[in-house]
Amino acid sequence: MKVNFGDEFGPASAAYPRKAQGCRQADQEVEQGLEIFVVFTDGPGTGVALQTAGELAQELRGHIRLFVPFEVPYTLPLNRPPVALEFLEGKIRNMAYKSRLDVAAQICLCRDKRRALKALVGPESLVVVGGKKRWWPTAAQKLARQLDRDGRHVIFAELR
Amino acid sequence: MNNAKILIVDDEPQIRRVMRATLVARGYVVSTARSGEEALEKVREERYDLVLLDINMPGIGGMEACRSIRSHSDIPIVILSIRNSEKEKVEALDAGADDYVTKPFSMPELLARIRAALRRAPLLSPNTPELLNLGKTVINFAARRVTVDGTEVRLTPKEFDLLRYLASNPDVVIPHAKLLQAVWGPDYGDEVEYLRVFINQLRKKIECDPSHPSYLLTEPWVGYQLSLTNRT
Repeated sequence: MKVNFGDEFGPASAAYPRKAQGCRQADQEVEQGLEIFVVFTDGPGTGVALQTAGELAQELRGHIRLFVPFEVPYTLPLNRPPVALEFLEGKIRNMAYKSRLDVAAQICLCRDKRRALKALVGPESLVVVGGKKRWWPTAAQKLARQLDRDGRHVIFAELR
Repeated sequence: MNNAKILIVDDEPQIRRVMRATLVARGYVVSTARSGEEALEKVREERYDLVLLDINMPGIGGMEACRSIRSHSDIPIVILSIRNSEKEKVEALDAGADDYVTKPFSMPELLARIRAALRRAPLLSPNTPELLNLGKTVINFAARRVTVDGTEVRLTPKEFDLLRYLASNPDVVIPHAKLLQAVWGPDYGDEVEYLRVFINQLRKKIECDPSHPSYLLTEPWVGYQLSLTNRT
């Protein structure tokens, strides 16, 4: 497995499918049509986000990239997450398989999820975030708002 | 769209009479045809907003008439039939029908289905120009082609439908909900982010400077419009 680490974050692995192998960073990707980013929030939320992204990808002839930012505490080295990468990869692979979509997934080990996303997802990118909507904002809603403030086009896929 | 023009095609005079009376009472403009051949002739001669087509008719029959109409027209077609089998329904929908109603039907149901079919009809509005020239961008709605500076730009079907709907009502601000329902269907209305994304994509494809659009304009908190006043 190829690992590319910085001080704060680094794409750790390509989980699924073959397309994602090689751990390319988003800004190094040669643009082939519109790229639709899905940010992992939790299992059900990401499932809904993938569904929405699937519809958008079909209607806009785009392709989906699933980002899984995984925060590693400062007490551990960045390349030693508390959960085995193979386990995370398995979970993401399973999720991508269940969605029945052509998804390029990437796990990103980081210290701060938001800073990592800001660096990895280019400005004006189309991002889909899924989760529950509440009067008191949920973590997914806060993440979506943050990305919106940072200049990304965010679609919030509501989990009902 | 209550003054929509509807063509009723049925070989039974009683059914034609009842449907005509009901639809006229609801404000629709109604014409009738007794056979598939007569229907094809009428569709060729005049523009209709919807066709109510019976399947079992002498002559070419409803299925063949449906295929013929669909081969050259996008008019919504609602099939009326006594057959209730899945096979028949699949065949009719594959032949180009938009909906399938089984006889005997209740009038409120038929009227609701007509309304549903007509809700999608604004996309086919006769107001849509065949060719639209926006400076360096030329949109040929008939051929579904867009060229910018002579280079062809590929729009997705949804992007094209959105552009066509905006072009059929130029210089008019169309509210988000109306646009969503017209292009995505009646189940949509709150997904403003969708619109934002598609308009953004369209701007990237047809505007010279997408960050300062001249044609696809936003009316904050209201909707979007295709402005033709900045044409050069």
